[in-house]
Amino acid sequence: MNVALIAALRRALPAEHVHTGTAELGVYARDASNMSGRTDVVCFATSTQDVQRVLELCHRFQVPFVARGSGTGLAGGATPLEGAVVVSTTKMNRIVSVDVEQRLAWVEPGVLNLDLTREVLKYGLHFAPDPSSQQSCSIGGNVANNSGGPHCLADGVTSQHIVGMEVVLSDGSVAMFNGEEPDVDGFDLRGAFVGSEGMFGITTKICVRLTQNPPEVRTLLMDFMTVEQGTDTVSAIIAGGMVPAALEMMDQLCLQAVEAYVGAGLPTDAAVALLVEVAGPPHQVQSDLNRICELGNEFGARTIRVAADEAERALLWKARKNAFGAIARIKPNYYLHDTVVPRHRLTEVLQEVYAIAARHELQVLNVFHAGDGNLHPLLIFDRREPGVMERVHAAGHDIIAVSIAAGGVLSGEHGIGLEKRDFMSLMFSEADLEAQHKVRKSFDPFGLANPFKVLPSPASCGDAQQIDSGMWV
Amino acid sequence: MSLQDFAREVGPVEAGPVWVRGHETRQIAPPGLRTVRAPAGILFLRADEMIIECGAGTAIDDVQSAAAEVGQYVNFPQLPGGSGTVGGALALGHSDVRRLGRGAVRDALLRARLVGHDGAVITAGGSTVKNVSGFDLCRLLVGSKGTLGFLGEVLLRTQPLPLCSQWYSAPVIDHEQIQALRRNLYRPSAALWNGTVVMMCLEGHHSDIAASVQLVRLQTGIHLQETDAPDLRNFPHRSSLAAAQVPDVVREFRGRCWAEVGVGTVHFIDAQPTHQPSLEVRAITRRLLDAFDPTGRMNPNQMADQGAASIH
Repeated sequence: MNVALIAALRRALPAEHVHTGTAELGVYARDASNMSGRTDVVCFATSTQDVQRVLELCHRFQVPFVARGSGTGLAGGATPLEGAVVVSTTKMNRIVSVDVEQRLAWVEPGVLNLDLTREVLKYGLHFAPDPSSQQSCSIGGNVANNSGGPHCLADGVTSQHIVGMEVVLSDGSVAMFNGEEPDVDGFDLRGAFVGSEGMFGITTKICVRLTQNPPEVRTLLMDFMTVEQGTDTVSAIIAGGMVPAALEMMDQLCLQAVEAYVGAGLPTDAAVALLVEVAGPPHQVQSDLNRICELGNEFGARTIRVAADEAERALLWKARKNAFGAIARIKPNYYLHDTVVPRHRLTEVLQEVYAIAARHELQVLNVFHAGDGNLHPLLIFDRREPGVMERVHAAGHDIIAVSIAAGGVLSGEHGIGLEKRDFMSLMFSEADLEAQHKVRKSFDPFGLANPFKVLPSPASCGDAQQIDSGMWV
Repeated sequence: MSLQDFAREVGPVEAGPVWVRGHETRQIAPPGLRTVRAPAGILFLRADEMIIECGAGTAIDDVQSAAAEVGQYVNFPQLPGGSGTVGGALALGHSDVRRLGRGAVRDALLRARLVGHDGAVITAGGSTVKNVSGFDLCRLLVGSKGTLGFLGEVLLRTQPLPLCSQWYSAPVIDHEQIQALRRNLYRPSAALWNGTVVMMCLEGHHSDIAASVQLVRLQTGIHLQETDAPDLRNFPHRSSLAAAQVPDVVREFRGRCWAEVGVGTVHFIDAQPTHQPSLEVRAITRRLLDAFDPTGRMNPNQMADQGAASIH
């Protein structure tokens, strides 16, 4: 514990915003992942100046820091390593301004994703990225992870909705990337910062683009007796020139678990079901809806259920969004994976996922963004079972390997963090990783911002400290 | 030419300064500098993945023709008289005037294989539309003017061609009318305004477009008339402003600019002063240049005076 640093932090911030209690440090030693670290102090910033003060001190004492929003990350990105100072942005939760005409808003990083959408609903607008944690995840976290969500198929992930941002760099200096300007002469530092997992600095104000709510939305559920029929339908929809607002798939085990939990009238004997949403002007929506139903029939859909009203639509989405809650009826614990594969390889990769789970004597259910090829295999287990965690990790390794072998990528929306850091070499050469390291060092020459994430050694050898020996990640 | 051949042509650091040349629709190689050309040709196109991979030296028109055969397009700016190469468009990073609806060109680049300052090939990004595996080097490459490395092969995101795409114009002087137009239209692809005329691009189902035009007439009294796509060749100087500044700028430069309403890009007849980046931004820029090209051999001086006039 760096006593001098903690004393300096207490002088720089109100005492009640600097926490060193054992219970709190335990809470902030991890995010929503299964990975734990260690911190000696948690600081609650309320302003850009607060963040500056903390980072100036971290720089002076050469102690790393970790920005933390709501802590909903699933890849260990906000897990502090070896006593890093945790900078919580949860108290920076003001919507600073909303420009309805330009459809922009300035927000602090601790504003919750869904709170912003609720605030601008009265103007017929919303914030498009909608990760499944949108009720609790922060927009600062969305920026750090370049978050997605089911409706990013048509509207794009977070990067496409961030206009500019104010950032505190690791020496405590403040930079503005873009502001409200669409482009700058020079490098797109804004674009590089989004998805940098807290390793380039801490964002303190964010200018987000707001999206017009569609005049018409239709949602349908179609089910298939084979996985292949479902995935072929997904490819046919995209190849047919349609990009639905959302295109989600649930497999049989998921359908059964959710139906028992929600009671939405889901087809529990189907191999898979597709939840499809089309949004936009009425003629376009009707045209797409008709064509998607035609394609579904062409590829063997057993039933097609078009939501008759808003209540039924909400019920179908409730089923989709409650998948994680529903699995508790089967097993008490789960490990959620996140890889992306080309859509035309979905069938074979899903079959591989089932085989991997069987090989490791685990149950798996799949509920995922099929339109993006973004798989979310959910390994379910009982942590109390001896040896089960080893099998879970081994299965996860195999799932990542088959996804990469199929031409996919490591992560579609959860990020790399600690979880997949050591898998980066499956996707990138040493030279590729060195290039990423150069970008990181250009933003943070001191290696203080959330060190030892994303880049495996030796690419991250310039980072400030080493991981605790014996730490379980 | 293969990517490896291209890397050999770029050569090692000892080979000295080098300039990557495209169709020279955007910029002409400085005299006396050794030039290289990136590989050209489409490597593959998959409509069901909405991706196309090609050499960076491929003509944009060729990419668009191939994509159009499967009902898709890549979100590159369309320039009258030829759109140049894919690499040139990405290196400059200027988006199409339909950015309001179609998005920015920077979002089209999913993966790049580039040749670095030492002649080595580096891969940035990934093969899928959705990807957060590592830092977003692709965003940095778009608009980097070749200073971080020369694009060799690029994997691009395609989009479905709209069923109908139509430009409209109407005389509009007051900014309040522009606001009324935006309130009554659902996601127009473009709204250009010069202080006397508005030009709008509406895309989608023809019945929705017809209904939108009718709605605008009823709600605002503005009669949108079909017209051709705008030709901005006489407005070669581009500035990037906060979208909220557009009304004031248009008032000041009435008839001498076209502003992208809701975006903030303004196209001027005359060159405009540009603002200098902050010390912090300059410092990061300098470090990026030093890290990626320590001898400054790749497209020399293109970022040296970062913040100077835009290049067209």
